[in-house]
Amino acid sequence: MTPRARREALTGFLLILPWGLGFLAFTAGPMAISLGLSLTKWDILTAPQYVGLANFANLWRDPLFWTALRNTLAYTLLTVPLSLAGSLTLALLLNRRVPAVSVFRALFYLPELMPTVATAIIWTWLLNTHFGLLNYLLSRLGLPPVAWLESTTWALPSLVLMGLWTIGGNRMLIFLAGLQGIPEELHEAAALDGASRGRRLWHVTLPLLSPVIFFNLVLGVIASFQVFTPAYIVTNGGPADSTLVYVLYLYRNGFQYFQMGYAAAMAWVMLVLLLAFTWVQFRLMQRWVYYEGGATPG
Amino acid sequence: MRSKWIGVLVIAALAGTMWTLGGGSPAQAQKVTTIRMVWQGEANELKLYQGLVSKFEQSHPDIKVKLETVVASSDPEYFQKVQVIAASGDYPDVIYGHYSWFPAALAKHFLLDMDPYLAKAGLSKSAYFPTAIQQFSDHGKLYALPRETSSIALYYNADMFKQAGLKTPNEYYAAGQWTWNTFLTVAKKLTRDSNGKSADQPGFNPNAIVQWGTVAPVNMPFGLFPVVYSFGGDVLDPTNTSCRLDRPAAVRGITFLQDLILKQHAGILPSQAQQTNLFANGKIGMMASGYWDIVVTGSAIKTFAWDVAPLPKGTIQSTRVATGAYAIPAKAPHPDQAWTLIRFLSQPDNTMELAHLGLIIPALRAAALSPQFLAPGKVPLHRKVFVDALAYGRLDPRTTHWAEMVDTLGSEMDLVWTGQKSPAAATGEACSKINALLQH
Repeated sequence: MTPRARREALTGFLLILPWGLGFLAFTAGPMAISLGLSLTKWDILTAPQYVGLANFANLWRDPLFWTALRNTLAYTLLTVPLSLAGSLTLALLLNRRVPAVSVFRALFYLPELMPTVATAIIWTWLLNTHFGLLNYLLSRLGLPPVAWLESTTWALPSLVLMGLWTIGGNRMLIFLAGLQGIPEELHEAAALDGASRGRRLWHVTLPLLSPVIFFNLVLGVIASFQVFTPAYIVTNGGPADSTLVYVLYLYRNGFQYFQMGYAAAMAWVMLVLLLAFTWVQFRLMQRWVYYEGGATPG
Repeated sequence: MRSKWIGVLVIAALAGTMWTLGGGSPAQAQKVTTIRMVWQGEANELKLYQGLVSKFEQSHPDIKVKLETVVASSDPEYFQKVQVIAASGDYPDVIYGHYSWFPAALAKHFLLDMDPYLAKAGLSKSAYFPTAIQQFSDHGKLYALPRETSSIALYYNADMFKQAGLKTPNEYYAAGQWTWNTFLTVAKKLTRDSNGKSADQPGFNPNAIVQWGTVAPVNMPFGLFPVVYSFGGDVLDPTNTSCRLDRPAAVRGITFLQDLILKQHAGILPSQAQQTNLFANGKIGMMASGYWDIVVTGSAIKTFAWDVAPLPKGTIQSTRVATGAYAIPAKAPHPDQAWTLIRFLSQPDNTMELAHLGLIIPALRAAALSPQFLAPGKVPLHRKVFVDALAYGRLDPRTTHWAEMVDTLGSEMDLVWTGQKSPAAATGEACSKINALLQH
């Protein structure tokens, strides 16, 4: 290393030092402590007691743990494909040269800026069994009312529906950026060769967009695993635990049931599950994600 | 390059200065003790407490009070905050707390025994409502000084009763006829579909209800438990070690509620009613709730006359009572000063100031029974029913598994209200889970 390079490296490290300290103090540190706590029984009010792997063994035997995991998987399986498809469709529509497209982009992005709690409350009105807009529309079609949030069948799909409210948000923005990075001349060349709009989408746009789709997919799965707010605000896990999602159950154990060690164990199980999911996705990626220049990272 | 370094140095110097400034102040506070109080309150209460605290500091120049106000939308959220404070080992000197957190705090020896302080101050426990003392006592010792108490009573839309030509709940009560059967009859008459038919008329369409007789009292726990109690049932046995909701009396109460919702169509689920504030909007005849709703819901009522009445009677007249109190953590750094503050806040005049905000009933009997508090002539006219109910109301069973028990029971009850499970099957299942919890 030349002295100049060393100096620059030093400056670089100094500049990221605040972040590095913050990361150690507020992310890595707590993670290490939570790993330690996952091996203890801790009611918060008295000192933790070491219990080895008992928390993990208890998780395996806890029916509510499996309920929460099942609900979260169901939520993920519904939410991720629907929201990816929705965001992508919106992005394709908003990528066209039509008048006032930026106004539309802003409008579709707006829900992302609203506080989740406020949107959750608006949705409880829309979904109200007796006065909700959704049931009003159903009644116009001659259909009976659905007890959206009070039925064990419909409560979880209702939360999925709420989640789709933000398809025009950040995910769509990332898609839009990806779409704008696709060179115009590829489309022109394909059009010259007589490719229809649909074929251009399938053979040009989607392959070139696949790294972005992959990025949104990985982040989408992680985010949907962490779903909490709508289940907490709107249904509080009910009715009959049908919307008891993983993080809500973790929260209850940690902060309401005096079982912080158990909650820490749940957090680590979730981390391992998410790592496994992400690893599988990276393996599968090689089959469908196309990188220009043929390089496949990871 | 050089200019970058200067920038870094300037920042470091600034940070250093702030560090020294921040660390300097406690040194001067040699004579004055600063105590911290963690509590929960909304905007009006905060304003009031700030005033009380500055008054306190004037009369006690050796004590400074730091109010740590937790803005939480629900009790569980507040306790989450208190727990985190406790976990940090940074104990406040005064904690305001509700009933639900107390069993755990007690079991973990988290709170200071207040009896010596009461004795020294010559303060008698009998000045307080007995349930309030009972809620925070263990083996005869008091671990928190009650601030307020609350009971569940019945709010009703008086205009709706008048239009339907019905006697009011208070009139039924005075005649000794205010039973759950009367309640059901009345609720059916008040429930209307879009054609104006009531729930007791032929041709009534339960899919097009526009006005409900009542909110079904199934909220956990303040709706359901009073009904169970008044049907002669119990939640747990007297030792709080086994579940009794599967006994016939409790099952009868729960069956009554299931029929009210599913068979008679006269009760709307609380979640649906709350979403659009249906009672305040004049779409519901009756609603069981606590004293706080005089302000929370009452202030939203603009278009009709309303009042409160006792809950209907089953085999006995009953309801649920809950209390909030000031406590001192056993490891509080300044327990004596903490007690001085609690004493000050609990004085009748200061308690009355809080009571005038309308959210609480003072736990101090003389204050709650005073004409200033009972405000004769003010809406709701029968507000004294909340205070009277303290005589026959019951406390929640005391268990450290309270939150988990309520969630477990609530999940089973959800299936009862949708008709997916019978009350007997659901309470049987709930009890076996709760028993497992309690023995845990």
